[in-house]
Amino acid sequence: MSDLNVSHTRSPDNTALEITLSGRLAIDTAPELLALLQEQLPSAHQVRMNVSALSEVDLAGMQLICSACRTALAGSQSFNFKGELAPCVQEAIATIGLQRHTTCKHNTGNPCIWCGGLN
Amino acid sequence: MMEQAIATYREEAAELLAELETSLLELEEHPQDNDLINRVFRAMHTIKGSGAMFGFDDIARFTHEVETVFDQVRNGKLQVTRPLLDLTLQARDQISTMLDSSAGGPPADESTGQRIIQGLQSLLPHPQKAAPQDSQTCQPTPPSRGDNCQRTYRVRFKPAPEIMLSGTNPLSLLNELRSLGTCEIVTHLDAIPLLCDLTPEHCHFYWDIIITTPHTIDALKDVFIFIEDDCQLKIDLINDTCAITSETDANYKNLGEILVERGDLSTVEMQKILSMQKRFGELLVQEGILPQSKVESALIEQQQVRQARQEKTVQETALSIRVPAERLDHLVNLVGELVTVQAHLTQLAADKHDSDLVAVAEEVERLISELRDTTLTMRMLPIGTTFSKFKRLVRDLSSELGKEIELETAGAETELDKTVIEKLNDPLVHLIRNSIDHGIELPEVRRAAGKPAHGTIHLAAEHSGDSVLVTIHDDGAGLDKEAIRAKAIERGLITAASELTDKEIYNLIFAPGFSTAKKVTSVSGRGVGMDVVKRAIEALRGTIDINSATGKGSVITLKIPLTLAIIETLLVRIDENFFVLPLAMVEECIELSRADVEAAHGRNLAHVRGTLTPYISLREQFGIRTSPPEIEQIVIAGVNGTRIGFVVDDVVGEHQTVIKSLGKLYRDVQGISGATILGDGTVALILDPALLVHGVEQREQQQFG
Repeated sequence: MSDLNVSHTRSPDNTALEITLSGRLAIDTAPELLALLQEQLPSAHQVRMNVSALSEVDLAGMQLICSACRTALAGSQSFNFKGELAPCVQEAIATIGLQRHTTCKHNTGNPCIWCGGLN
Repeated sequence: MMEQAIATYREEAAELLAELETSLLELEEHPQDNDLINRVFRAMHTIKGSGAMFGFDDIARFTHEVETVFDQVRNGKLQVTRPLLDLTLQARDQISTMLDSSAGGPPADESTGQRIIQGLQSLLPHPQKAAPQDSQTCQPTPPSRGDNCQRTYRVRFKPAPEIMLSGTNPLSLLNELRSLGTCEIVTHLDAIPLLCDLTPEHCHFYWDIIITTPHTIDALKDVFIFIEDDCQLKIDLINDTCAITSETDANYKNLGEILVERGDLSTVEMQKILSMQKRFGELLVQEGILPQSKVESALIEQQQVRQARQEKTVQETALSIRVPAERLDHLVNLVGELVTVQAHLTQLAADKHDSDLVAVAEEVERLISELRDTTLTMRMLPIGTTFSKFKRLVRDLSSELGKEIELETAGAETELDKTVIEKLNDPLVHLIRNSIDHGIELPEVRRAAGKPAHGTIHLAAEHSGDSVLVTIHDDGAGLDKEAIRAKAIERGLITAASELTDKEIYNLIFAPGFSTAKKVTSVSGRGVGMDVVKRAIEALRGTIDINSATGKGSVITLKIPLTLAIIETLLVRIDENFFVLPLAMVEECIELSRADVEAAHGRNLAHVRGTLTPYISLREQFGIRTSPPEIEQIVIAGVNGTRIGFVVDDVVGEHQTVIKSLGKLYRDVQGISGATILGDGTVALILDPALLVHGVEQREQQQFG
């Protein structure tokens, strides 16, 4: 049984997608989020991901979020977080070495949207 | 997934422990060999690192303690001594017990572990002795040199995408690096694919790490040591505060040595590093510390070693994969079935006289024969894996008995079927124990006899046709013929009047419960051994031969077939029944006419070129009641060095036999070692000539006293 909870909502005009995650996003639960993203992301103009309630995240989980961000930006969609980054996510950013203060080529020269500090 | 990773860890740890043992024993002979010291250290480091990763925390903690001590050896602060090796070997056994215990074996005794650690720590020079150990203990090794140098390295670490599938977490490696010094870690995201191409279980991140640390490059490399085959790793020293003033030759060696060994450097990069080092060498020359020739000579030597290692690493990573043994066994079984079916096909084709079908059958036969050979080769292992265990046996037992014995081995690369090697282990242990206990004399006795105090046991393996000859040669006292004879008379095995050749006397030691040892030691003398050895060797379809010279030593030769799965045999027929004899034992076939039988006056002896050869009538032996043909055939086989004939109706020809074991009901049937299925589906029994002869001898003895 997966201990990741994934839910999503759409704005009334169906253009904004909000994904809320809680529980454990890890190598064994990531495929569940991947399936949802593959299904929902293409039809949204704006993507927001709420990771504030994640209790655990590993390298595979962080990688998936990064890929989602990249996919959205490649399709000229916007991608951002909603709410605080959960402590485990902040810790993962530090452990993996994702903090950076440079711009992201995928994000039209802006700081990396999810680890650069827009939040 | 995790279970599989843990199983792999267990397997690898067992291999590493074996390597550790071999290296420690070699180190005893060459205590100054830096390469061996590094091998020992790495084996321990890998056991520790992977142990921690897969949840074997107790093993990781314990190994860490031992590793810490060995790090001092690596840095030249502690000498390799006998007590150190004794304790490290004990530590290796303790790790092995812990590993077994985690797989459901008996628990490891913690107090033993404590004792070993305390013993090892007591060997340390003063400052380290009191160093308190963190309870986590998977801490980095202390700085390898007692200098104040800070070195900055650039590490490019790119794990293989599948790395996380095997349970490895790259983050734990990054954390381990962090614990070594000040780290700046930069993750590269450019390899992360879009969602449509993403495999979430793969690792697409890779890292550049700039680390400033007092540790040497060895410590950094050790962090990655257990995934070195599963990642691209490049470590460059980009700054060294003491590069010129305190670099020593030893550290210089390490820099290139391990990088090349890991395959992290291309030849071009190696040249680059070498040229950097040359400048350092030039400085040495300038300072008048070393003459130019010495520096150049050392560089050439190192370059060669590096190249050799690089080639070896490339070959190993490119040419081998790990396959579970059961899968290979299954493959061999399937090939066995295929050989049987192919025989059937060939026979059908021949019966139908259809040339097209015959052509296909022949093609299939050729392919299957190749397939069979390839499959059997896949199960071959070098016998050296067994040999290396004996070094430890000889070392421990000889010191227990107060003897000085050296084990020399030759032909460790000789390959044998995996199952044969496994079954050969116990008999070899018995034979080597015997050599140590009965063969080699005490040092003072040896000196008195004008021999070197040091005894030698020479263990060798070599190919000989479709067999392997394993010889155990000791330079001890040799077998005591009189003592064996006396004991055999006492036990009623022979009569006092028996006239026996030397070989026959030696063969008496294979009788059950036979021992001439005057006292029973923990090593031998209980008289359970040689008969067990003989049975084990015969179960392998092998033979055992003894030669001895008083005062000079004994040679025991085991002749073991290469494989147990499929053998070449001679197919024979008695009435409607088919039997096969191992072709390796068959020497010749001759005819036996009624006239010959009558001329022998009821004795089962045939004249073969002027020599009397005893024979066994298999028709009588198996109670086949039909009358024999006018001319029978005698198949003469070499059994324990004697020629014995087996009388059959007809010799059909050579046959490739896939061995099928008989059911439990037939386990005690003497003289039959298995069965095989012929092309037409008929079952043929596989004869065991040695046991057939033994059975007849026993019956004769009972009959005639």
